[in-house]
Formats: sequence, C-alpha cells, structure tokens
Amino acid sequence: MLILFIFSGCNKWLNVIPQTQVPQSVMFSNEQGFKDALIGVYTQMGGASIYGTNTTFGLADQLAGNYDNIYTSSGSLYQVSLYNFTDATIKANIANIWDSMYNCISSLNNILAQIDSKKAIFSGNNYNLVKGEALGLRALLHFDVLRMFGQQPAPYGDTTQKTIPYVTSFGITQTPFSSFGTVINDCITDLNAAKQLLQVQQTINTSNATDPFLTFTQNHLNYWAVQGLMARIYLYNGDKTNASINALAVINAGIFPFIQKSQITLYTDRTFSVEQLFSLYIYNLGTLQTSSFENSVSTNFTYQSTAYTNSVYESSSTDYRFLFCYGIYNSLRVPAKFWQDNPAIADGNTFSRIIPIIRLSEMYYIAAETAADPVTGVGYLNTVRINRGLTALATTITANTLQNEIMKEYRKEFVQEGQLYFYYKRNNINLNAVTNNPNTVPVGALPYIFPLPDNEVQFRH
Amino acid sequence: MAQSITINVKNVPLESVFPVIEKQSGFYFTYTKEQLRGTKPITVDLKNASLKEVLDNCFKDQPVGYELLDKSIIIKAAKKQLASAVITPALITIKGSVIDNEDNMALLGATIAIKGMNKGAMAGSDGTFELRNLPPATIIVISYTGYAPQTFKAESWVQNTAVKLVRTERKLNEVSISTGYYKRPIENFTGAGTSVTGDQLRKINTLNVFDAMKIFDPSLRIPDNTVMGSDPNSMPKIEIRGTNNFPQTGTSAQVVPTTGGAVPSGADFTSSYINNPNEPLFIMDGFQVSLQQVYDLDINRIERFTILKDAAATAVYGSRAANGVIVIETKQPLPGKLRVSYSGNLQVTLPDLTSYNLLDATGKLQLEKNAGLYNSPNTALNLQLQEIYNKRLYGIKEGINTYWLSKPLQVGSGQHHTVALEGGDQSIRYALNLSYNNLKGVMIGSDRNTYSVDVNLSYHKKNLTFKNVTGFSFNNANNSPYGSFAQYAAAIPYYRTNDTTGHLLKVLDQVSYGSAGATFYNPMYNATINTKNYSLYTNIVNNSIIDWSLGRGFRLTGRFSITKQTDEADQFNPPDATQFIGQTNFALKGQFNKSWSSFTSFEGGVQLDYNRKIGKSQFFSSTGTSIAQQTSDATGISVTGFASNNMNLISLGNAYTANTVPSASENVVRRASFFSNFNYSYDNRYQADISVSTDGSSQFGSNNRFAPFWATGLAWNAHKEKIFSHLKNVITQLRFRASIGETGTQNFPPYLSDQSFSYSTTQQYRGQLAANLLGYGNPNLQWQQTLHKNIGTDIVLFKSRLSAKADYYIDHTNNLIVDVTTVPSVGFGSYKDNLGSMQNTGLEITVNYFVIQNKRKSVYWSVFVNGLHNTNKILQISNALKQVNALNNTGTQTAPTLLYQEGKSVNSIWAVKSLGIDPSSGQELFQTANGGKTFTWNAADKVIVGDGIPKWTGNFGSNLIVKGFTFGLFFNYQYHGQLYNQTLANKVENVTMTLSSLNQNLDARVLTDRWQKPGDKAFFKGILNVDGTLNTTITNATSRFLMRDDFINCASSSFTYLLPATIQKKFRVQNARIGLLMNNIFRIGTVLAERSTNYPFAENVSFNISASF
Repeated sequence: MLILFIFSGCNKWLNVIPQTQVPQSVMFSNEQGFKDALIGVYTQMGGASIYGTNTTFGLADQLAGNYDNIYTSSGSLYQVSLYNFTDATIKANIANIWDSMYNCISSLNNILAQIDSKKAIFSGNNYNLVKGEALGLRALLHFDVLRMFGQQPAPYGDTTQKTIPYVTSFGITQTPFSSFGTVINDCITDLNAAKQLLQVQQTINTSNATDPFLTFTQNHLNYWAVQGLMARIYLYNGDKTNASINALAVINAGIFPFIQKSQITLYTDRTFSVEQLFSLYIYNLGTLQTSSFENSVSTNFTYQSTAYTNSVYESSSTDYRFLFCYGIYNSLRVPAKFWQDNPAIADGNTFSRIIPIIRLSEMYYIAAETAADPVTGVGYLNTVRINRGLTALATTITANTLQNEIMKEYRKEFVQEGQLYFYYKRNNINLNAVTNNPNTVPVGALPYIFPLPDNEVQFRH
Repeated sequence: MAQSITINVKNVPLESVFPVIEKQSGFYFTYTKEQLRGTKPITVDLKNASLKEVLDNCFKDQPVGYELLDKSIIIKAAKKQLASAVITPALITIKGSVIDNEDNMALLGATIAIKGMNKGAMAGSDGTFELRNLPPATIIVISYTGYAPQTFKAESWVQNTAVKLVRTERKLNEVSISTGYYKRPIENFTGAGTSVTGDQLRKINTLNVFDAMKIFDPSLRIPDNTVMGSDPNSMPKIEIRGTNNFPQTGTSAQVVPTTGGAVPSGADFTSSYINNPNEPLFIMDGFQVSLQQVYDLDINRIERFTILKDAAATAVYGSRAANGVIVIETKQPLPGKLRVSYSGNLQVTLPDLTSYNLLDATGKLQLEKNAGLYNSPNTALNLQLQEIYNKRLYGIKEGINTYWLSKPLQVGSGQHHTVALEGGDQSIRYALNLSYNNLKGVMIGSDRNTYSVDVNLSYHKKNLTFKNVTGFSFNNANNSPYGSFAQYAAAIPYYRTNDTTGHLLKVLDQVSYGSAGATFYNPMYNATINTKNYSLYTNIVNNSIIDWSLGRGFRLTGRFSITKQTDEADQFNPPDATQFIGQTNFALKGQFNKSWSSFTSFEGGVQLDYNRKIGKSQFFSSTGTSIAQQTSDATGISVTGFASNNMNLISLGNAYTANTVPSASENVVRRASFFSNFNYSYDNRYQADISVSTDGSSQFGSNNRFAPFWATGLAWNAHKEKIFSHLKNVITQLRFRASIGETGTQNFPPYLSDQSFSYSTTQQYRGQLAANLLGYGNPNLQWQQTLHKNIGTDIVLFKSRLSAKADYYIDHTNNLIVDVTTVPSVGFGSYKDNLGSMQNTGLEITVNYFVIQNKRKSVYWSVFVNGLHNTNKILQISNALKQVNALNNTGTQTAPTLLYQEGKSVNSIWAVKSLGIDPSSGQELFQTANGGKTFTWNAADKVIVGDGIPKWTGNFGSNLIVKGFTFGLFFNYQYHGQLYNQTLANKVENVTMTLSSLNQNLDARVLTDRWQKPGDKAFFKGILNVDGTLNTTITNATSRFLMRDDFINCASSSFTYLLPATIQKKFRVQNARIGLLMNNIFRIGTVLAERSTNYPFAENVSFNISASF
C-alpha cells in the first residue's frame, strides 16, 4: 500500500515539464492550445517545401511550363524542363514535398486523436471549427499528394493500383498504400465530416474580432472552401454530377464577389483576395517570392518571355491578369502576383502575404466543364471573362472548343498557383504542345507522376 | 618482555608522558580525558627502568590507577573506588570503535569476540561496535586480519574508546572498500574495484588528479586530448572499460537546445554526459558530482578514491552505473589538539614541442619554388612573381627565420597552497581547509585559479553522529589571448614578427600578382590589444549526514546535499583584432560574447545498515532510498560594435550581433532510487553478495518510469581452506570472485521522451502564433542496459612479496538509444528508440612485487605492472546509423570517417589499402575491394585497416623507500596501438599549392621525403607530376598514413623525503616532508605526429613541501 503510494507520488514528481517546449499534455489542456496547434499546421503549410514555393509558384509551375528561361542546358532548372525526376536535386526536392505534406498530416492526426476526449474544454463553435478544419486540411493535403505522386485519373491512369497511403492515425505505425479510388473516397469522407462540423460558421469574417481565431475566415479551410475542394476532387475523379452540385452551391450562395478593377489597383490586390475561398497566409512570402522572381542571380529566378505571355493572354491588352499581375525586373517580364511594389503600401500589407489555394473562378470553370450542354457551360465561362476585362464568347460553341477555352482560362488564371499542371495531368495534355519547351518532353504518365522518396520505399515493411 | 625505559620529566602533566612510554614500551594507553581530570603533575627521573617501575612512579598519589592487559595500559579508577563498585556485579554494555594505529582508518569488520563463547560483534563502517549484557569479568578480544589482537576486560572498559590496532603485515590492499553508499571489508566484497589512498595519489601527480588516478587501474582510460593538449582549462574525457555508446548522431527533433553562446554550467553532469556518454559516475562523500568538481578539487583533501567496475560493485547506482563509478572520500577531522597542516607546491610547466617537425624559412621558400609558384608562362606575371620571390629571399638572406612555435609559449610557474586546521575531541571535531591553486598553462595568459574554503564539523553524542561539510569555491579560468596554437604551427618562418623599428606587425605581408592577391596577418597581434577569453564560477556545497546507531548492529543514516554553482564566460575580440581588418562599418567591429549559467542540485536519502556476526556467519546489509533533482540553465548573448580596444564592457557595444537572439538552454532532471545490498560471509571462506535497485527518472519515457537493476556475486577465500594450511608461508591469499548483473545509463538529453510543441517567434498567422509539434516523443523510451559479467582473482604469495590481481569481463550493452529512420509518411523522419547493442570484452591484470623488503633497515623496493586488453564489438545498429554509414562512404575523405558495422569495433579505422607510391609516376597506388590495383581512390574500396583502441594499455613503475626517502618512477604505456597520422597527411600532402592559399607552414618531410623523379622510392606523393605540372590529387583516407602507435610515457618520477624524527622534534613539526615531482618529462613513441592542434602538450616539474604543527 505504502509502496504503491510512494511509486504513484514519484511518478508525478518525475514528470518534469521543460521550459523551452510545451509538453503535449499541457498544450491540449485548453482550447487555445488546440487552436495554436492548428495554426501551427497552417504555418507549416506555408513552408517553401510545399505551398510556400514548391507546389505553387515553384516546381509545380515550372513543370507546367510557365517560365521559359528554364530550358537552356546552362540553367539550374534545366533538369526540371526535361522532367528528369531522377536528378538528385529534383529528387531531393520531391522527397521534401512528400516529407512536409505528411509532416502536416501527422500534426493534424495528433490534434484529431486528442480532440474528442477534450470536447468539454471548448467554448462556442470552436470544437466544430478546429475539428472541421483539421479534417478538411487532412483531405486537402492527401488530395494534393495524390495529384503529385498518384496515378492520373481514369481513363488515363489505373485507379485500382496502390498509390499513396491515406494516414489517419498518429504514431510510428506505417499506413498501407491505398488505390486512387480509395484515396478519393477517404478525402470525400473527411470532407463530408468537415462540412457537417463547419456548417455552424457560414459567414465570412474579414475584420478583426475579439477572438483572432474567428477572424479572416478565408485564411481558414472554411465551410465554402470545403465545398469548393469537394467540387475540385469530384471533377478530378470524373464525377461531374457531384462536382457540379458543389461548385454551384458555392456560386449560388453569392458570398464571394468578383473583384473590381478599382479594387485591384487601389491596394495592388494582385491575388484578387475577395474571390478566395481559401488562401494561406505566409508571413515571409515576400522573401520567398524575391528569391524566385527578383533574384540578382539570373539563373535562380524565373521569368516569362513576351512571346509566351502573349500566347497565354492571346495578345489581349484588357485582361486584368495581363495588366496587373506582371512586373519588370532586370528588364525581364516577371510574374508578380506575390510582388508588392506599391510604394504606398507598407510592408505589413496582407496582399503580399497570401497565396490562393481555392478561388471563385475555379468554381465557374468547374460549373462550365460539368454543365449539361455547351451553351450553359459557356455562360459560366463568360461570367469570369467579363469580370476579367474580356469580351464574352459566342454561345454557339462546340463542346471541344469550350473545353479548349476552359484550358486557356486555367493558363491565364492560375499563373504562379500550381493548378495548371494538375489540369494538364487530369486531361493528359501533351506538354510539348502547350508549353514553349524546345526540349523533348516525355509523353503520357511519365512527366505527371512524382517518384516516391527512397526512404518511403526502403524503410517500408 | 623486559622493557628498559628512560624517562626524565619535571612537573609535567601526567598525560604528556604517555607517548614517551608508549614509544619505548610498545604498550598503549587506553583512557578518556575525563579520567585524567584531577591528576597531579609528575616528576620522574628513571634510567633503563621496567615498565612497572615507571608506571608505579607516575601513578603514585594519583586519583587513578592502571592495569596491564596484553599490550594495553588501561587507566582505571583508583582501588578504593573500585572496591565499592564490585558488590553487585551488574551486566554491562560496552561501546567503542576499532581503528588502524597509523592512518586512523576505521577497521570495518574487525571482530570483537567474547573469550570462550562463540559470540561477538563486528565493527561497522565507521569502526564502531557495541556489546550488551556482559558479565563484568568477561574478557573480550579485538582482532582483525593482518593486525595484532588486543584483549580487554569488560569491567575496565572505558566507554567510547577508540582501540588502535597495530599492523603486523605489510599493507597490501585496503582493509575495506567504499561504494559511496556503504562499506564492506575487502575480504567480503565480491565485486571488482580498486581503492587508493590520497597519499598514494599525491605521490604520482599533484596537479591533475585524473592523471594520477589512471596509474592505479588500467581500466581507467583518458585518451590524449588531440585538440587541446595540456590546456589546464579543458576537461579530460574519461572512460572505464571501453566505449559503451555510439558517438552522438542524434538529430531528431528533440536535442538539448544549446545553440550559440549559452554554455551549460560546469557542475551540470547531465550536460557533461551529452559530450561524453561514456563518462563514469562520480560520487563524492556519498553524493553525485560533476567531472569539473573533481578536477578542481584540492588534491590534499582526498582521503581515498575507489574505482568500481563490475555489476556487484555498482548495482546500487542502478541506472547511472553502467559506465563504472568513481568514489571519492574526503578527509574527516580527527580528534586531538588543534593541528595545523600546510602543504605547498610550486610548479614549473614547460611546453613539449618534440612532436613538431616544421620547415624553416629557407626550406619553406625552397618548397614554394620547387612547386613552381614563382614561375608563370605569362611574362608580366612572371616578373611580379619573381619580385615576390626575391623579396622573400632577401629577407631570409637578412637573417629572418622566425620560430613561431615559441612565440605564444611560456614556462609557466604556478603554485598551490593548502592550509588545514583540525582538532576536537570525541564529541566535537572540526576542520577548516583553505586552498589556493594556481595552475599555469604553457601558453601565455592561460591559467586556472581555484580558491576554496571548506568547513567540516562533526558532533557525536551517545548513539548519534551529525556531520556537516560546507564548501565554497571560486574559480577563474583564463584562456590565452594568443588564440589557437595551430596558428603558430601554420605561421610562415620567412616573415618577421616585428618591423625593423621593433613594433609588432599587424600585417605580415600583402602580395598581389596578376588579378590575385593575399594578405598574411600576424597571429600575435590580437594578444596585444586587450583580447579577453575567460570564465568564472562560484560553487557552494553543503552536505549533512546524520548517523544513528540503533544497537544490535543496526544503523540509520540520513543525508542531504545541496549544491549551487553559477558560471560566467566572457569573450571579447577588440575592434582592432585582425579578423576585423577590411570591415568598414564601425558597428560591426569588435565582438563580445557572454554567457551566464547556473546549476542547482538537491540530493537526499535515508538508509538502514545492519551488520552482525553470529557464529561463523557474518551479515552485512544496506537498504536505502535517495531522491535528487538537478536544475540547470544557461543564457548567452553576443554584442558587436566597440569603439576602442579598451571598451571591454558588454554594455559599451553598439548593438546585438545582427540576426542573433539570446541563446538559452534549460534542463531539469529528477530521480528517485531505492536500493538494497545484502552480503553474507561464512567462516571468512565463502561470500555472497546480492544487490537490487530501482530507479525512477524524469528522463525515461512515461511508460517506463521505473527501471529495475540487479547484481549478484560470489567469492571464495581458498587460502582459508585446510588443504592450504601447510602452505601458509607460500600462499598468503588466494581468492576467486565472480559476479553478474545488469545496470544502466541515462546519459541522454532530458525531455527526449516527451512529445512537445514549440512556439515560433519568427512566424505568425494573421496575428496568431503557431505551435509546432517537435516530432514523435517515444513514450516507451528506456534506459540503456549493460549486462556485466566479471570473474577475478586476487593472489598474494611468499609472505606478501608478490601480489597479483586479474579480472576478465564481458560487458554487453543493450537498448542503446539511437535514431530510427521511419517511412516519412508517418510524418517525421526519425525518432529515438532503444535499438543497438555493443559488447566490450577485456582482461585487466595488475602485478606487484617487493624486490626488497627489509624491515630492519627500513628498505622497501617494489615494482608493478598493470595492463588492460579491451575489444569492442558492435552487435546491432539501427537503420539510421546505416544511413550515416552510407553518407560517410561517399565523396572524398581527407580524414577517415566513422563507419559502424555489426561485428566490428566502434573504434575501427576505415581507409583504402595503399600499395605505396608508384616510383615511376609519384602517384599513390591503391588496392581495390576485389584485390585489383588502381590509381583512383574510391570510397567503396575502404576496409578496416586498424583500430583506434590499442591491444594493451597500462602502467608500470617502481617505488623505492630507504628510511625517509621515497623514489617513485611511473610510466604509462601503449602497445600495439594505431593512429591515423592526420596532421602529417594534412601538412605534407593535402596542401593547396598556390601562392595565395599556401599561407601555412608545413612538415619538414614535405621537402625531403616526397617523390621527386621517376625511380624514387618515397613515402609521400610528389609535389609535381612526371610532366612537371602541380600534383593536385587529394590524399583521401589511405592505409599509408596509418601508423603503429606504441609509446612509453614517463608519467611521473618522484622523490620525497620525510624529515628525521629528531629534526621534526626540534622544529616541533610532524609529518614534515619535501618532494620533487616530474610529470610527463619524456615520452618514447613509434610515431612522429603533432599530438595536439590547438594547445601544446606540457611537461611539469613541481616541488612540494608539507608539514603539520
């Protein structure tokens, strides 16, 4: 009895709490700890290895052929233009993407493993928000891993083949690989659960509130972002019906307006912030963009030739994206979505610190692509065109031309956002046909499937 | 025996004649001070009288009488008082203690037998005993192996007498061994340990306690510090019985955050273990201390130290024991009148530059010319180069040939003084120890000063003893402003240090040729401009012990210790320093780095001891518990922009160094231990030891908070068997020991097992701060376990002339904490787990022989040799270490890199096998993995070419005592060792031969022993290829530079002289001795290599004087 008492007393005494770190038991003893841990995942996602560079304006856009100074053999990105994924630098970079994505997922799983037993410590809607956002992010991250490392969707890829693990537990236990279809199903399951939880908060808050966690809803994976993501995933999987339902739900809700020309110029809002369903806030985005686009070492920064820009924007001089989203650096045309050069704007301006992940225009593109007939489809596309300073297309359009016009819009709209490469992958586009790449680009699945990191293969049992 | 005693005293106290009588008669007085109260002064004048005559004279008319019993003169009440007491003979209880008459050491395990009965008592760890209910006429006999027994009568027993037994055999081993928590008679102890007295230690080396310690036990290994040499401020790396750990590879998320300038306190043993995971546990007076505390301990305070090696000896330390334990006991005050002792030491430290073999000015320039540095096919450039050459040649002709090595060096002269006061009586004893130790290094400005005060009080009353020791020390360690010695080994001899007017140069030379150029700085310059680099600490320790003798062999001890140390380290590089040349921004000139740290430790415990003798059975047992907490923190900051060299306060800087924040580290470690040891001996012939312990530590994972450990040992004193009784003159001792047990180590960073978050201060998310998970905290993380097996024997032959001790051990370490690589999809790259195991097998032998043992003439000459053969084998490694291997096995390697392979030694030296230098081309020929020949070095061809651990290491020496003179000669040796001669490879072959980068001096062999023309059989590659172009091939790890490293080092040669009694008497001093000690004065080795880079090795000569008054 006495010994038992001594041992249990000792156990408590032997549990030392470090000062430089916060032990998990303390972290998850209150609501703020859960919020901070979730915010930790958002900041991790903003790292250069993933959304802070690689999966947006870095590797993903390089692979989409958006920069045409990478094709010469003397450049540091030459191997990228050859889609040589076995090159040591690219291989390490790709392994880094995988590691970082799953690192974020493990942090989410850690939160999700703890949150249900601590439900009582939450106030207001916060339990729903933290858990819903965590589930939604888990789906978002897995879906992006699938888009990079997975097969192409049907009919181009084999969707029954084992492709990536969908990890839902925290710990050192390895999760087996799932097929393309299973991953999509798991994403949808998580997103449905997230939607259920997040429906308590459907309004968008753009100002400061007493609880900072409840402000700037667009920088959280909110209720509408979940639906937008579902539309994207359904379309990727070829499920047009469900894609349409979700895209239209966002459009019809009317929560997100199109940006006005004056709004863009007023604060140099090059990412069209009002249209964003979900964007990541990246505190050091300025530094990240500078190292890629305003670097004094010419081989380290990427630009577009005038010829390429003109081909993308069809030589239009009224397209807002052509007018406002480019800058000149070293007399070269540089994509400038994340470039804040307005001298009136202080460094702290948020427009230079957000990277869009899901935006309203994509909902219209999805609605156009999944519409019952080309006439309805072109209507959705024209809404975007008019709001970008372009003229409407004729409604007498064939299905094929419509699809081609949608692709043109992806090329214009998503410069520096990484989505174009995944559009190409989904539709198995021959990259030599759409880029300025003079090198021979492999055709088919090869340029679209990232190799698994060595450690993932070597240490799997 | 008829004594003839001569005595002549006039009107002196009775007590004062006792020593005179004792000395001449060989009888000892037994009495207490109280008894002598009221005695009258006496006047006696007798020549060659008998003892009885003398005593009768002395005790005439005194209130007390005497009685002779065996060799004792027992003082008792005068007859008339006695008579009244005899009427009713009540049963009595006697209490007392048994000690050695020479060194006053408690004789643990001494037998107090009742004559005619198979019953008695045994002296406990402090020598005390108690016998109850004795009839007054009982005769008691006090005896101990190797000592003359003494007999007493119970009724005349004086309570609390300390019986001094006289040694009859020459001292061989210590009579008891202390494990820090308990003591056992050496004859009962089944473990492997070595115990050495402070006096023995001080005869070897008074400057460095660890250098002295290693002479006595070959298993204690302190490899040469190949970077810091004999720097007095660098702590040694110590290991006992080999390497038990992989070098730290850990980089998973959780490591101790010691970034930047924050230096953990020197008293913080947890941090110290992270630097050397093989470091043994240090226990001083029952409490854990750091390596630094032992290093700075005043050597004169050491009573004895004990090295405990196997499981039976160390198991009570549980999770801290696997690397072995070093137990240090400090001197305790002895009763008596106030005595003052002084010990002084003057030391001279000389640099040892014998391992340097550098080019002189002419040679250096010749080498550069041979390498074609002053020629160019471009005419204009050629002219410029020739001009540089001519200028340098002119300088040499002028007589410039600077011997840079001696520039930063000095003959250091340090001193060490200790004054000790002690005294007291049976109830209160006190001691005060004052010490100043000034250790001088051989680099100018490098020294270490320790000031300490210790107060030791003990109070005895009835069954209670209370002891308290308070120590205060202050330490100031200065590093040389001359910086690293490597700069002077690299400095170029054809440059002068001072300009022609005698001023020290800041820039030695500035050359420009074509579009290139180079500037050479004077490394001595920084020493002249107020450069500072020092550290300070203040340490306060208080240890309290309460000891309660419960009777019937039981004893309860409580102890409590508190330690507090604060440290400070300052480093100031003035704005004028050479490193700021070319810096135009005043705010970036000059830098001050400062670090503060503190350490607090509490440790407390209670233990119950029992010892009893029943018939032929002896029992000892100790059961206890202890708890401890250590708190350590450190902060460091860096400031730049100082206006002047003299503005050396950190507050005078311009701003914090750009992009730095204060660095900090923090750790709290808690431990709770329970231990029990039981020892049984039958008839002094058979012994058994059992220990169990349980440790709880905050460093273990939450699922494994408590760790159990155990050990058991058996011993057999064969010489006590009847069959050997007729060989008594040949075999004095023949003893066999065997032990097995499991102990642990927890030498890994705290918080390793915690899953935790850290907040980022550089990121925010729209006004919200982010907490990031720091990887996977393994809740199952455990202590490392070592299974120790040990068998040993102790043999003493020919009336103690020859003694030998041998131990064979197998230490099998399991559950080594290593990084385990995971599949990245689990979310983190690696985590810490208990994987990996390693085995050390070894043999230790010590032989001691008395060549001369002449008691009559007081001449003793003994020689000894000891040695250790240890082999290491990796049994299992983790996948992360395999990845480290793969990484270490690619690219070029100018030094051998560590590779870990199961079945091989952790100290293996991996290199490509060399077939020598091809005489026709001057290129090195290698052997490929499949036996072919190639000129191309390939990492994949690497094989094990040697092992960093020698086959045998140890010590030998001789000790000669002639009357008061003692001569000692002690050597360290290493046999069949191997060394990759890195400095030679770097200073002969791996040299970039261009005018701007060839700014360092090289080994002289670069000029003489290198291949020059086809047909040369050379050891080194050519400077030029056959076609006359510069040979730029890098020399990667090759067996060519692996050298046999055997040596004999004269660790100590000593001479001491004990002043004759007559002189001592004349000056009224005791134990007055003078001594001369020379440490590391010569070394004979098979390899010529620069043994250390940043600080040279040193030789020491010290002169000692000590006496008590």
